Amino acid sequence: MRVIVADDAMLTREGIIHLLEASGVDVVAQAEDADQLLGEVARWNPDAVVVDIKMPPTHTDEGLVAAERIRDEHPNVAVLVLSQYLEPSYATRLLERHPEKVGYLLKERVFAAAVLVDALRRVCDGETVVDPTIVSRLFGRHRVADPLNTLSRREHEVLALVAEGRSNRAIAERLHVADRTVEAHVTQIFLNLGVDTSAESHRRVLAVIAFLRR
Amino acid sequence: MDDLIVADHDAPATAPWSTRATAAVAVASHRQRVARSLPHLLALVYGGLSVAVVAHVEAVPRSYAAKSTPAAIVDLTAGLGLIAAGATYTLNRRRGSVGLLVAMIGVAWLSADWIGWSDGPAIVRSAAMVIAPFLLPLLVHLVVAFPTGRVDGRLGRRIVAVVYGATASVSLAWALLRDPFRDRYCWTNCTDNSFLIEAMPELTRSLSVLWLYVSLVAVVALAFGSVWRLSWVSSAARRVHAPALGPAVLVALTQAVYIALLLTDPVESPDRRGYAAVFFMRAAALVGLAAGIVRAVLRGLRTRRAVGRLADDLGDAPPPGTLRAALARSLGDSRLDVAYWLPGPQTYVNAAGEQVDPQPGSTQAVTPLERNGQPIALVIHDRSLTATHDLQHEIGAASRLAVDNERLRAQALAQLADLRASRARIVETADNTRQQLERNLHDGAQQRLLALSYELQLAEIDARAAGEARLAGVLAMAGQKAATALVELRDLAHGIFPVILAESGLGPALATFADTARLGVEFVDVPDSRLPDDVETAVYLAVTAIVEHAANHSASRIVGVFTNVDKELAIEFIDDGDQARFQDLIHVADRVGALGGRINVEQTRVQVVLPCG
Repeated sequence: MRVIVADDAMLTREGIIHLLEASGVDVVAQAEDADQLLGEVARWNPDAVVVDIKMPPTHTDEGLVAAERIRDEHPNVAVLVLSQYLEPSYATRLLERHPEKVGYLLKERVFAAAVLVDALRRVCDGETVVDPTIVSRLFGRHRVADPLNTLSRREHEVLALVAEGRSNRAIAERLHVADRTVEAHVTQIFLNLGVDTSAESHRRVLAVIAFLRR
Repeated sequence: MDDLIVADHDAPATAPWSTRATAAVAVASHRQRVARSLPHLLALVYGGLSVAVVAHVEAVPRSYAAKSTPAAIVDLTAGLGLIAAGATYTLNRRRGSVGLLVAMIGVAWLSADWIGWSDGPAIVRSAAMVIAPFLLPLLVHLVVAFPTGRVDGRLGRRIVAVVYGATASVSLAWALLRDPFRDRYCWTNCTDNSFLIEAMPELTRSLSVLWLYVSLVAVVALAFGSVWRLSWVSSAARRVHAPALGPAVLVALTQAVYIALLLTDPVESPDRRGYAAVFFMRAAALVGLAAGIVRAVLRGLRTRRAVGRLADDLGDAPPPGTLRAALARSLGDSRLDVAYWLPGPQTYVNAAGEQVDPQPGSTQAVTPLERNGQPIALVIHDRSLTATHDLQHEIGAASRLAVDNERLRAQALAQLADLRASRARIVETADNTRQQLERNLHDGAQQRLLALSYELQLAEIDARAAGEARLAGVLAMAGQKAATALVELRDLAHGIFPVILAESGLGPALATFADTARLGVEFVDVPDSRLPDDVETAVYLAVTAIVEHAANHSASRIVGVFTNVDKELAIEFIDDGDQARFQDLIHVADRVGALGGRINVEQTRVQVVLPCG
């Protein structure tokens, strides 16, 4: 797996690279701002890019804008956005335009090498990744007559994993059940909650998040 | 309020040392008044005598007035009317020669009756013949000088001087060289010329024809000039000019017809229908001029009275700007403006207390109002008003109370605006500080905690590799604590200022807030478009404060409905469960008030209104 890492803080960037290389990931280049990143992507055509949401010059959403451009211009390059903000809006903004091969992870995850590498694998495989903390926050939202209460505990688990961007197969592996069982759960959950089931599989993440924020 | 004295260059100051000067000026102005009245008295006497002359009917009429009673009435109405109108005008104006000019036009008009007084003294008839031609230059002078009485500009002065000069030359030539007895078209005074030196019939005849042509050109030019002047001045100036210039156009046109008639048919006689008709037209036009002058005087008086009554009209507590509107209405000048002087900040403000730079337009003039030598206000008005009004006197004496009231109110409003601005600045500074604090936490502490987590992780890996399980456990624990600190710090930073508000606006920021609120929250019709930063921050902080307040006061679910109409953003909060008891939200009110907004708190609902854009 060939990866480019972009972060304006040298310490963090070096840390990420160190962890990735220790896990056998090939870091082909690094960048400290969005322009440099776009240049390196064009040059190396990597499998994936890890990019911090805040980069020079304004330190606002340059990373997000760069991620969208990379997905526009290089559809085969997966993008994992790292953010210090627990903002579902940023995640949905990223997912709305390109619902596959993108991920939004909270920055503190990067130092758990396993989580970071797993997320990278998943986006490279065409899945989407939404940080579990964001999903659990959305689940914790106050609702009057909460429709989530109609779900069983297992259904709850399945829905959270769907929201995190996991595929049915990944969910099945994780819960140690058959793929079929997961499929049946998902259909039942969507039916119960009134979520549009016609959405393509990678669109269902957005549909679930939108439902959770309703 | 009696200490309010309006500056007037004619009037003396009231300081004690100037008492003698005051007396001297008073004597001087008394003398001046007598000197100004005298010519009018003489003109009135002359007018009275003219009546006697006309009444003294001859067997053979030697003037139009002597021909018939209606002719006599029209003739005398025109002449006496002009003399009386002139006197009235002078009595009502302090300066200028307009009144005298009008009276002199009357005198010149009536001189025809004296010329035709066939059994009167020869010297009187001869003198009247000298006066009669001056009707034309007097008319020109009136049109050019109205309404100030001054002739402004080099061109105007030159025209007036040339017309007077030419008329005087022709009149003098006739007096010295014309023997009326040998004039074949003579019909009025055909016997005597007391000033005759040598009779030159051919020369005087040619001169007469030349004079008629020159006069024709002059009166036509006069008519056009008057119309042109009326069409190019401001509407306020037109109201002042029209009463005199309108009739002046008619006078010039009737004179033109008369001259044209003389040129085509030199045999003039009151018996001839054409000439008689033209006479009536000319006389009627002059009656119109006299009436116009009287109208101008009455209008001035009415305006002055209206300005004098301003204080009564304004009532006890007029809204700001009423004085300006009342003055503009009274003076017929819609562009009139009043600027009040604030001695503290050394600036001029309008009635609303907003700072203004009182710059008169090209057709405007400024009249300062002062008290004890200190400026209190400026009146910016149409320049034409200075001709007919002594605004310093009229406004000062009449509406001093109103001026002072408005000024004090403007001062209070200006201070209020200052206060508001400073309150807004305080809130803005606080908000900027919040944002800066968030940024510092993010760029500083958060980054360092991240680095710490990372190093703890590396140390843990190393410890594990070295087989030091206990140390690895301690390091793992420390890493978890660092991670917890990171989460808490992130929440703290978000609470201080949510970055998403600055970057993506109200919608996403409120959605995130709703994700974490302690109770169910729904927002309806949150504006999609971005609003000014200060408004967004104020709305966000007001909304979060009100929802927190509702949560503390046993609300179960809050609905916030946004409406954005007429540059006002209103948010209405309703407790869905109807259990909330909203109490005073003074901190929200302060923040909203700093932006010029308001908050209405009722038991189960709260409304916040903010101006935006």
